[in-house]
Amino acid sequence: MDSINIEGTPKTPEVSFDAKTGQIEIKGRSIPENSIEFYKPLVDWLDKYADIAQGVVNVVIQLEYFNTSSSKCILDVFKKLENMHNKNKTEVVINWYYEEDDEDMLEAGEDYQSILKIPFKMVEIAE
Amino acid sequence: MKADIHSLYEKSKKGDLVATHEGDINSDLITKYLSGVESSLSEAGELTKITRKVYNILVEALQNLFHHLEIPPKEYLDSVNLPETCRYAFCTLIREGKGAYKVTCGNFVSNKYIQFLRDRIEQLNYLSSVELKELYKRILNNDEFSSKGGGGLGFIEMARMSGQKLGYDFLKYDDCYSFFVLEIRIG
Repeated sequence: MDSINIEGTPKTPEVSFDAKTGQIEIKGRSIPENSIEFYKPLVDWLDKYADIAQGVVNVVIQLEYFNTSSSKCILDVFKKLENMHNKNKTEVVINWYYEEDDEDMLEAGEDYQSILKIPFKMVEIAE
Repeated sequence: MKADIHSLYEKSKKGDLVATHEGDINSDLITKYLSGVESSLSEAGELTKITRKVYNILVEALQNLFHHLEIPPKEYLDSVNLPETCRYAFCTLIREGKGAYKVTCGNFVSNKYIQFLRDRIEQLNYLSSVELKELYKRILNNDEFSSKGGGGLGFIEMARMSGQKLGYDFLKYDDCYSFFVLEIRIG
């Protein structure tokens, strides 16, 4: 299965989904006008990866900004990861990064944590 | 009497103007506007925390215009020499004091949507911050996207980030259209 590597732009995040290591990263800004178009291939990839994933799937979400239409798509990504986590062979951990004074980003992570049944780690980045 | 849109725009610019746009709204314009605001606030030495709030609110305000505005009536576009495909709107950012800002957006809406928008904003203005958070989470998790790609969360996010009541007005243009003005304060 191929991995996904997408460079970041002023409106879309850098994405790295590694099928070999199970390292999944979304970093930067996610504020596109059409977020469904950007996230659909990522959600489809996770659907396929769920069949072969084994061991630990380490997820890094390190966003500076995201718009509300991305917030729905990010939840779709998390729901695929939640399904993966509930399969016997896989353990998924979501690492939600936020800058130390960015209470809104911490709160956004906690909102997702309260909706999902999957391990979340809140990771503070010192400025 | 028709809404005097030029006066509304001029009024929205009064004060310490940080950024402004009047005319067509498209994706490139939004990117440039946001980048300009980020540079201006950085050069002014604004706190990162405030800059983030301003940026987040502007993303939602501008993308709300992008997804939902009505193309203005031809009569208006002709009167200001704009092409009939112009998705006219304006968006201004004013610094009102230390760490305090005001975003004003204006766009045409069909009169048939006024009641819906008014009810929606009034509902948000009535809710506490805890209730806004709960509403946000409920809509976030409802698996629905609007037909225009929005998530139905933009106004809630603006209200949450602002922490203050959303200001608004509808000024009648003709029997079909009104001009909608939205004011969001930060700090």
